[in-house]
Amino acid sequence: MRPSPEDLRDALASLPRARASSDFAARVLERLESRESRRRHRARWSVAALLLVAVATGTLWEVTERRREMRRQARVEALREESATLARELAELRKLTAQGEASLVLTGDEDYEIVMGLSPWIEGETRPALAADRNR
Amino acid sequence: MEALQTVDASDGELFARAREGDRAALADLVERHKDALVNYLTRMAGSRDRAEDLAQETFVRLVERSDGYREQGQLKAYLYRIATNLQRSAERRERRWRLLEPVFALGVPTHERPRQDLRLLRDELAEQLLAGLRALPLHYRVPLVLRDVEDWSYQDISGMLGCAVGPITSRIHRARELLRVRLEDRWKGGTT
Repeated sequence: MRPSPEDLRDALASLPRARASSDFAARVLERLESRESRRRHRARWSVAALLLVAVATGTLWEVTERRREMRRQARVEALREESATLARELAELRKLTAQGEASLVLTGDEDYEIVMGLSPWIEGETRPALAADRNR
Repeated sequence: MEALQTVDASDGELFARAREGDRAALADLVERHKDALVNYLTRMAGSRDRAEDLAQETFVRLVERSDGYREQGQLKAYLYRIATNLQRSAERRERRWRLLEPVFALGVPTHERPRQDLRLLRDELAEQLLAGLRALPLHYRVPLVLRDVEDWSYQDISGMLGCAVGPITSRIHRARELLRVRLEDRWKGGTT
């Protein structure tokens, strides 16, 4: 037999009512408190993690910058040394030029060497002549 | 004086104070609705223990998501909406577990309803009634329980579900029909 709608409604209405436990409200507040405390804890950790990342990034940047600066200084130093060397060589050349005829040793061995006089260039001539074949 | 103010205060007023961090106001709000909510969820979930857990979670969510509530005298509806959504999520989770169970041979069947509540019931008919209720799809079960167990008006149910009264009426009617068919073999006349 199928129950009538009224019987069904009565049956549903007369079901025993479940009641919340006596410490229900306290447990809700406790749960809320623990959730908030967890959230605060998480927030603190997030801030700490962010700070750590910031510090690590800053340190890395600092180290990278220092290395770049050191490389730059090393390059400048090398250029200075090279410049000083060139200046020294130039000075020696000028000294040689002042002492006598400017010449350039093209080739040679123990017995002879081919030397090209550079005076024509220095004096403005276009076709220099071989200065001499001279024996040692 | 404070207690008197709390007793007289509307749900909205209590909730406004709870939002500001007044734990006493929140406790009063919880006291006011806890039994009805636990009973509603017991009929929805089929287990008092689980209903109690869901009801506690409902109040916690109410506070946590208080920004989503605009006071229009509908706090009770808002509270039950949260509870219903939690129940819906729980059932969805159970369905997923049920699908995974054979695959992973899981030892703890989470969908198994605790029997404690049923043991307390005096007769088989009530047991069948509760089993029938639990077997109803959620969109039928929610309005039926609110109407026939919690004695809500159609208007209030419609407000809670955010749905017109017409469809609510027909859903309740359909739910009763499904339940009557289910109880057909066991009905011996009379009520529990």
